[in-house]
This record gives sequence, C-alpha cells and structure tokens, in this order.
Amino acid sequence: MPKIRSGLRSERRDGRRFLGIAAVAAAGIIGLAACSSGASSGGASSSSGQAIQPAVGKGAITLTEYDYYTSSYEEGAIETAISAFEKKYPNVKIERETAPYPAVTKLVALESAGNTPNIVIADQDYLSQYYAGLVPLTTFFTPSFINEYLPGGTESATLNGQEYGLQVLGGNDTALIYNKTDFAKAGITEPPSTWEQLEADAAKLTDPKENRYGFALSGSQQEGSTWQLEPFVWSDGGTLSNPGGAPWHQAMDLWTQMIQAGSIPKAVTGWEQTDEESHFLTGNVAMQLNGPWEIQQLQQSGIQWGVAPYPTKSAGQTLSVPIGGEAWSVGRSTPEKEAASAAFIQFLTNDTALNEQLTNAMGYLPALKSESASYATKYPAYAVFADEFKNGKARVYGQNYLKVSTDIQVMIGNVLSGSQSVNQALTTLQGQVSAIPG
Amino acid sequence: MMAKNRKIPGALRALITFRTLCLAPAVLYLLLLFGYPTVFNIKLGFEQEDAAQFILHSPTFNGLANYQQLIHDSVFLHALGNTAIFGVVTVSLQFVIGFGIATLLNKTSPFYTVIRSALLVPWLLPLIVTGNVWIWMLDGFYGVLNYVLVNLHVTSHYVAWLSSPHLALGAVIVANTWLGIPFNVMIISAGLRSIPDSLYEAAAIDGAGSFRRMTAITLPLLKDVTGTLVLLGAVYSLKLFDIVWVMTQGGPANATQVLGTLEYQDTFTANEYGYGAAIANVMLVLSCAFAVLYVYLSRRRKVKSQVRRPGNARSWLKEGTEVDAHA
Amino acid sequence: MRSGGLSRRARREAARRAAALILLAVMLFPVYWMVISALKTDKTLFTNPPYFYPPSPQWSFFWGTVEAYAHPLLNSAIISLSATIFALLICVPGAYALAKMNLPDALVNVMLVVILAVQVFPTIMLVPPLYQMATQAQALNHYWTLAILDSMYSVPFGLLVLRTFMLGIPDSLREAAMVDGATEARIFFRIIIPNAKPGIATVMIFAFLFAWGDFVFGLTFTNNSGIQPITVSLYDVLGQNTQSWELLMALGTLLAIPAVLAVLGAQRALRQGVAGFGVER
Repeated sequence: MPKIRSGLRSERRDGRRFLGIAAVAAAGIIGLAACSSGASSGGASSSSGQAIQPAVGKGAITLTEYDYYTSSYEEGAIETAISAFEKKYPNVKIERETAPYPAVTKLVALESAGNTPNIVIADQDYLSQYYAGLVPLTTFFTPSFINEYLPGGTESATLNGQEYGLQVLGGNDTALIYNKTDFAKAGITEPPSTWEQLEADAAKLTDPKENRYGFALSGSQQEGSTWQLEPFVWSDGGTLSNPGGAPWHQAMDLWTQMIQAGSIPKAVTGWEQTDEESHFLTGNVAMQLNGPWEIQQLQQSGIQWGVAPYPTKSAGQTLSVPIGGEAWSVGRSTPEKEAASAAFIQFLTNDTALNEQLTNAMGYLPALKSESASYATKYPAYAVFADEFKNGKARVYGQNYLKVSTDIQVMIGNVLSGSQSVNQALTTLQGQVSAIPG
Repeated sequence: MMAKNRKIPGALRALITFRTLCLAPAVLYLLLLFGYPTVFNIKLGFEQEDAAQFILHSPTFNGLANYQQLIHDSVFLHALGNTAIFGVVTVSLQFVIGFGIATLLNKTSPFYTVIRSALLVPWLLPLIVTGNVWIWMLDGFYGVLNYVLVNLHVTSHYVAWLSSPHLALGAVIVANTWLGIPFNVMIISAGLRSIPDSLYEAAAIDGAGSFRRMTAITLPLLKDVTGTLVLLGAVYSLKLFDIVWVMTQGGPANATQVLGTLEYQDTFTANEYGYGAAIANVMLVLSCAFAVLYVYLSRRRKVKSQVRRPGNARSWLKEGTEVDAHA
Repeated sequence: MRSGGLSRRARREAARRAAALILLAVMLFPVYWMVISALKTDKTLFTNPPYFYPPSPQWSFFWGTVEAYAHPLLNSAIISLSATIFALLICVPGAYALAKMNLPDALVNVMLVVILAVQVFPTIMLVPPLYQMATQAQALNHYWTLAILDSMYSVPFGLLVLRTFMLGIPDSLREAAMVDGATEARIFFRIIIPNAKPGIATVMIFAFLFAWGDFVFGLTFTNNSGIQPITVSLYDVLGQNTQSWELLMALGTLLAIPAVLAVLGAQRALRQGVAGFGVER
C-alpha cells in the first residue's frame, strides 16, 4: 500500500506520565484553593514550600490552544480535557486551534508576530524552533511537580537548561509488531529477541511468491527513520555523537544484510511508518516497527498480531528506546493568561483518573510515573510499549538534533539503497556530525 | 499620439490621472505583497538566524558567510544540479510532447476543441492531489503503473519507483512533465493557429514535404511562443517545491532534492532561516536573469521583408514574418 | 473528392481522431484512477492485478465525504471567488496601463522583469513577513485577507496575459472614440473591457483555480476551521496516524471538480484568452 504523503511528517508522539500525588497536592491545593472547591485528586498539605503556583484569576479569561490532533479519537480526548477544565473554571474559555502535523512553520509565524498561543501542544522534536515564545515551566511548577513525570520526556523538552514542556497526556514509542499467524505458519514460536534471531526469523517469513517480506522499517528521509535506528544503536551502547563506532556499524550491517537477503523490501527507502502499517495490514509484511497508535487499526483488522520489544544485539542487553510525543507548554502572554495556561497543565496532571482515561483514548503511554507503574497490567495491549516507555530516552543533540537526524536519514537511505557501503556512509556521517555543535 | 496630447492639454492631465489610477493598484499590490517579503528575504540571506532569533527579531549579521558556505555545500550543489536537470528535461519534454499534441489537435472542429479543453485538467489540479495520485500509481506493491509496465514487458518486475535514489528523480520528473503538458499544448495551439495556411500551401506547391514545412515555417514562427514557454518553464522549475515535497520530500538520501525543497528543509528542519533565505535569493537571482534575458530577446523588432526568390525555403519564412509583424 | 467507400482523407481523419482519443485517455488516466480509487473499498483497492473500474462503487462513502466537508468546500468557494474579483481589480486596469498607455519602454521592461521574477519565491517563504503584516493590520481570520493573499498566485500571471491580450486590441478603436470626445475612463469601460472579455475570462478562471489550490495561506492565516479551505482539510487527513486512501482520493476528487467544471464550461474563453497570450509581440 502506498504511503499517503503530506510531506510534512515525522515520527509520532510519546506516552504519558503520572504526577506524584504529593507534588500535585502541594502545588495544586494551595494555588487553586482560592478559586475552586477542592482538587479532584489527593488532598494533602503543601510540602514544597515554594511560592510558584499557577493561580487562576477571577475574571473572564480566554486562552488559545494550539495542537495538531486531527484524528477523531485525538480530538475527542483533547476536547474532553478542555471541557473538564472549563467546567472546573467557568470563567476560563479555551479556544482550540489545530493545524496539520507538524504545524511548526505556522507556530513560528505566530510567535514571530507576537501571537504565541497560550497553550502550545507541539512535537518536542521541534522545540528548538519554537521555544522562544514559551515560558519555562519552572516559573509555575516546583521541581518535584515536574519530577512526577518520567525523565525521558522532560529531557526532550529541556533546552538551554530550561524546562519548557511536559508530556501531560503521555507520549509514544515504537516496538516490534508481528503477525502471529505468519509466525505459526513458519514454525516460529516466539518473537525474536536478538538480532541474530531477527535476521533468521525474517528470512523464514519471507516468501517472494506471495510477495511477502519478513521485516519492514521506515527508511525514508524523515525523522521516523532515525527514530527506528536509535534503539538498535543505543541498546548496543552507541551514541549520536559517535556514528563511526562499532554499534552503528553493526546495526547498519544488520539492516544491510537483511535487505540484501530480500527479507526487507527495497521499497522501505520510501516508507514512513504509515506505509509499514498498511503493508502489514495487507499481509505483505510479517514484522514491522511501529507504535501504539496503530493498535486501534490492528484490532479492527482481523489480523492476529502481537507486540514484542526491539531485539537487542545480544541477549541481556538493556533496551534503550527513544520516545516521542508532544510537549505541553505555556506561551508568553499576560501573567494572568500564563497562569491559567499552567493551571490547565496542572489540572490534567492532578486528575489522575481523567489523565489515564485520556492518555488511553489518545493511544499514548503514560508519562506520569505513578500511572506508568500499573499501565502495562491495566492495558495489556499496550504493555510492551509502556514498558519500553518507562525507560525511554530523549533524543537530544544540543539544539541541533534535527540537523543530525537529517544526516542520519540520508545515511540510512544511501546504505539501504546500496548507493554507499556501510563504511563509506558512516565515515561521511561521522564527519558531518562532528561539525555540528551539540 | 503625442500630437493629440499637445492639442488637448486638459486631456493630458486627465490622461496622467487615469493612467496612474490604472497602474497604481498593481504597483502598490506588487510592492506590498511581493516586494516587502522579497526585501525581507534578501536581508535575511545576509544574516544568521535560527527560529528563536527569528521569533525574537534578533538576527546576527553575517555578511556573505551564508553564500560562501553555499558554494561548498555539496547538498546545495546537488540540489542545484537536480533543479537544472528538472528544468531542462521538463521544459524540453513538455515542449516536444506539447508540440506533437498541439499539431495533432490543430483543427477547428468541435471534436478537437473539446479534447483540447479536456486536456487542461491535469494542469488545473491542486498539486497535492496530483502528487498523491502519482504516488498511488507508482506504488511498488499495488501501483497500476507497475502493472501496466510489467504486462507490456517494459519492465520485468514491480519497482518501487519513489524509493530508489536512481529512479525517484525520473519518476517525479514524469509527474511534473505530465502536469505541465496541457499548458504547453494550450499556448502552442494558439501559436499554431496564428500561422496562416497560405504559407503552408505555398510551401507545398514548391514541393516541401511536411517535415520541411515544419522546420522551415512552423518552428521559426513559433519563436515567440517557445520563448515564453521556456521562460515560464525555467521560472517554474526554479521554484519547484510542492510536487517534489509531496512525493519524496527530497529523498531518498537527497536524491530528489531541489532548490525549493532544500530551502524548506534548511529553514524549518535544520533551523537556519538565514541560510534558507540565501538559497531562496540564489533562486531569485537566477529567476531575474531568465526574466531579463526574456525581456531583452522579445523586445519589438522591426522586420524587413525580403524579395522572394524562387525555390528559397527561407522566402516563405520571411513572408510569414512580415505577416506576423502586422497581425 | 470522394470515391466509393472511405477516401484516404477520411481514413486519415479517422485515424487522427482515434489518436486524439487515445491521447486523451492516457493524459487523463491519473484523474480517472483517482476517481475510481475514491469509490473502491479497502478490499478492492489493494489487489493485484488492480481493478480498472470500481467493482461496487461506494457512492454512499463519497457523498458522505461531501457532506462532512461541505463547510470547508464552501469556504474554498468563497475565498476563491473573492480572490478572483480582487485579482481582476488589480489586473484589468494594470494590464491596460502596461499595454496601452504609452509608458516608457524602460518602465514596462522593469515591471515585466519584476513580475516574472517575483514568482520564483516558494509561497512558504513569503509567509513570515506577510504574517507579521497581517497581524499588525489585525487582518487574521477574515475571508478577504485570504482573498488578497490567494490572488497573489494569479496577479503576476494575469498582468502578463491581459497585457498581451490588450496589445492586440486595435488602436483604431481608441482613436475613433477619442475623436468622438470620449474620456479615458469611458474608453476603458466602454471599449477596452468589452473587447478584452476573453482575456478577462481566462484570467478569472485561472485566478479561481489557483486560489482554489492554495494551502499555505489558508493554513497560516486562519485560526480555526471556521474559514479554513478544503486544502487544509486534505492536509489534516494526511497528517493523521492512519491512512485512509479512499478518503484522500475522495477529497482529491472534490478538489478537482472546479478544474473540470472550468474546462467544461469555459472552453471558448480559455481558448480565446490564450490566443492573445501565446503570440507575444
């Protein structure tokens, strides 16, 4: 199935985090007690002692909110969140504005004209582009509040030492999704957990006569490709700043061997994640690297599917997976509007029941630590994703992650298409990355 | 004309007012909507500015550093080359095919008129639609183009056209050519219709075959039309962005990167607004060069008619030129 | 000239017509493919070999799409129509000035170069400075702002086309009217415009269609779906996590309708308008 291109795509978003109850109560109760009757979660006394609290003013406040949630389920979730907040604070009205993903160019134009939206929900990969119009969250929240969220997302939204966003309704990651029926037919009992097994299984699952390939990944020139290479490299101990190192060589060797053996279709150099999914659904691909947003479609497809963590090079290595998703931020504005925007974030953090409900509705994984602890058990379909997400890492390279990523994407394209050898491509990449300040 | 004005001084004043009234909106419009952003971008090309600086309106003046960097940027040079390839191939193909089609349909009966009009549809579709339809047709697993090519024994197996660094550029060129052919047909048809039949008849009487008639009469008399098409094609190729971005985003591995897509990528992904503007300024300079060339070449010329010498092929041409100057 | 049966000439003509029809089929095949893809179900969309017709056309899905996107469609129509009017307001007088009013050659040449050259900037590059201007003018989220911006796609082109066309209007008409004592304004409205009707019609059609296809301005200069055009809806669909190829093709078909209508309904105008443009003097 072809990929529908908007040309404006990158990888997908992240899971979600839980707020610790104590920090919620501390930050929330004191700040909100003046205006509302009781927060909806836990109610202990303040323990932080710091004075930074978002406090919602009394008069009528209109906030603008900006996101790219255009699928029906995403819209349902965000609009439920907004309604719940407006119900709690009847004097506050939130006007929602959407743009097609990734919506960064419009956000930059808005900010440069002094029109930054009050609540900004955007892809944290692009934070280095739009942070100039944002207010660091430490203006409103205590470190312990922020610490209720898993570190991966917080680090993704940190720039120049300032924390700009939180993954309020979670984030996402990717894992290995496989076709159980195909596995059974090929006599494979368990999903691969090492690279060797991955290579062997993919070969077994490939059937040229049926136009079926064992394994698919995203190899086109967009962020999703880097996002899928990072688990391979990072789990083996590689880093973004050292593409000349052994982990990179071995990861690219693995991919090259598989594509040369015919287990991966050559078409992947033009595929994004949606292409992997569509070919998985048509039965052309038996294993794919994709994210939890596909689960709803998978459930409706009639395919027997399973999820497994990324294979590591050797058994027992710790899996290190990059996370994705949106950072919820506060835009520069009047102090009153900024406080109200921060209160929105705080409200959704405090109300853990609502938070979990909406995170699940979004198809995301919890970024709140306490939520994350039990998510895998409550939602088994998301278990693998949630477990990976708990230890998920941020993709950072100073302010220049996307630049580095572009070079990586070009390297991937050159290697997978056979235009360059692994050595050649990685040496070039090393030279490019060394020249980029991080 | 000037004599009239001297006779009617009041009307002269009225003339100036009305002329200004007519021209002023256009001038204001161009200055405001095109001029201001152009100046803005020219200035930006001399600055180093990332998004944050852009938002805070605090660029760093950079002099010619961006341009110096461009010269050594292999991706830029590659994109420049791709743009040139795009331009040359697309414009030539569109002209040749357009000429063929226009000749085929060069009759005035309603049948041909309807077909000529219907052919305009590809050119009038929004580019995002065109791009996605072609992606679908070029798909490596279910694309109809693969099916047709394999069954016509042109290729032996399905190819993922847009995934191959070697083939993607060609595939996008095909899509781009397809959507521009109707415009060429339209313009060339109009040009063909302005050539009097008498020329062809005279040439036929003198024994010239159809090929000779084409080379000696048609092509020379279409010089203006060709010039217009080449110029517009060149400018359009320079600014090429939508169709490439929708289909391949400049990939795989920069294989289809053109100036327009590189400008977008450098600005909004690599976060270098000044550098992106520098690329756009290069495009502007090239575009101006083409425009100046065009205006220079198409300024009004006086044509002398020559004595017709029997058996001289060029005599038909001269006669035609004479006709043209009066038409 | 006819003998019994088909003469050579008639046979040649038949062959010519056949070739023309085949050509039409080939050139319009992608459009056909898009429309039938909009009508196919999932099962019939991904088959090898592909269906060259939709086996069970999903008309209800198609009409459902039309209903669901009726509002953006209406927005697009309003914006494009307004852009057309605005473009005409700029182009008709401007082209007249450039063509007929004996401006110094140097000025005309400069304007021509400028008009041609400024079309080179990708639209996205023009957005940030224009956005700042629009914000300062408090002009966001209005139909007429988008109308003015969308006219940018066709004004340079329109100026060139109409100028060439008006160059072809004989001076004698003007001179006769002046002898009769007509003012410049009268000449413009009573003589020039009626004679330039085909050219004007052409510019109108192109202005509408180019505005219809706009995405960048429609996205950036609006805050909400209240006035967003349907091109933005298309990008919304593309930006989602899951692919819906049928929806995309259905939306593409909707987007293509004005082009088809223009071609069907305005052939004469298109043809005549272009006649003036192609043969540059």
